[in-house]
Amino acid sequence: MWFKKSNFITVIIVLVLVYFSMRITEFDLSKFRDFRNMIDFLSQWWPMDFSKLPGMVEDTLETLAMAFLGSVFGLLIALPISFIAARNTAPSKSLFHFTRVALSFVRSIPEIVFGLILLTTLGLGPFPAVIAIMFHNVGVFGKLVSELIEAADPGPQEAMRAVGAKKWLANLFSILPQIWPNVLSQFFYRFEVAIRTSLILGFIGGGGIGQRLFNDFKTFQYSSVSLDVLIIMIMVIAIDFLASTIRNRVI
Amino acid sequence: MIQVKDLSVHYPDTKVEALTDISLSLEKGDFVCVLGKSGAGKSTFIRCLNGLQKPTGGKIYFDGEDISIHTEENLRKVRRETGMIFQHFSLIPRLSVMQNVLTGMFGYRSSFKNLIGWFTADELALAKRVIADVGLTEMAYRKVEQLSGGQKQRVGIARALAQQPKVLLGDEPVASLDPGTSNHIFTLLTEMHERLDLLTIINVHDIELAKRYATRILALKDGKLIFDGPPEKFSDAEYRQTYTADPQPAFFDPGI
Repeated sequence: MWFKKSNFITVIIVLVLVYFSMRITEFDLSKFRDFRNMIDFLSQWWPMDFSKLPGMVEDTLETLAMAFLGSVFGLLIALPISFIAARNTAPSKSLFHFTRVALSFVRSIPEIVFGLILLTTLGLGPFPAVIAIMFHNVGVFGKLVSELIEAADPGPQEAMRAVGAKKWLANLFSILPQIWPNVLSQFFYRFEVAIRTSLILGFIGGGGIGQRLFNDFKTFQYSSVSLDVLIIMIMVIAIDFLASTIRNRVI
Repeated sequence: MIQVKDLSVHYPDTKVEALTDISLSLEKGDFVCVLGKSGAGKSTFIRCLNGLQKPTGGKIYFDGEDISIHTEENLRKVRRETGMIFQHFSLIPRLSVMQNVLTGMFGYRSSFKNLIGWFTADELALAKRVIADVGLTEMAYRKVEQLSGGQKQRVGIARALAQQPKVLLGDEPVASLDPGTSNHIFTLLTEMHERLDLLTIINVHDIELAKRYATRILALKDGKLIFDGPPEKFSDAEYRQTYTADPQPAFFDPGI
């Protein structure tokens, strides 16, 4: 009654895929037999070493600044582009297609690749990391915001055209207030993602708490590693809390 | 004021003839109600008058100027002198009543001033006056989402009045309002129509409203103009012709 033949076929296909994926990734839970190794290893993380706390806080701020700049600049650049990349506000069909393709091209390049290129050419440090995050975010925001623009209620857009406003101004005024809360939500989500990204970019020399974590790990200073991890967790939770507070005030 | 000559619109994707050869002349002081079933072409007709809909045939003269050939940019001059109100009000959400009304003046001002929101004392006074005219002075700084349907339509009217229009168009402005509120809105429209000596053209479903407020009735059926005259001449026979379906052809086989 509830199941069709196609359901069984779907289940079989998924099971086959799971089996082969496990083979490829050497998925083997029996490796957890030596659980003592993990306890031994993690016990070295304790007690935490607070001696380098000021430097860690400084690096955390650097990470936050990297993520913030990368997402703010990404959004600012993507906003005008989104209006060109939305079907209903694009100045011409060809420009619309060109922008869409350009955005998906930018989006298809991961931050880490941008980071590897820029860190090699511009030198180590947070600046290339900011640019790497920004580039990728232009692609992501361009897609998300242009989709919001396409889904906006056409009524106000028509009303603004009917009062005799210039087309670009009519679009801006009728669409932006509608999509603003959603844009803000997307922004905070991307900001959160940018924090994680800037950690990874730190591993390849992009600075911030990510680089410190990597260095502490590679030099076996596990009592510092534990504090690094704790600080990162506090930072992410704090940002999440702040984001939902701001979002609630806007909506 | 507005001359319409052999106006036709057909939508290429659906191959529907929305309007066929409409010719008429609309003058200052006319309070016109356009009647017709859904899909009769009322909305298309109204939209042609300010260029929101491009005619596929015929001409529309606005103050003697042919606007059917105008580009979007050239239409702006016509549009800013033509206020329009909508069935779903089409206000800008999250903005206040005042802000929505001020957008009505956009057609007359530079883009830069519009963008930064710089308004002269005269413009602000005009906005306050039209908000008072529609009776929303107490609500002027509320966001429009907090208003009732009738109040939202009043904001729509205030926005149109802020354009200092010569013509007022209404595309089913009371179709989503209850009967009492619809009456209030029509009273307000009549008041503004007389005070500002406008040409008012409004689509309605409700024949009673049309008969009570209009000075002239147009009836459309399947895109054709089937009645044009004063409301007292719009008799029951015309009503039936406008609103009932075509009689079934004699050879129609009902099936067994």
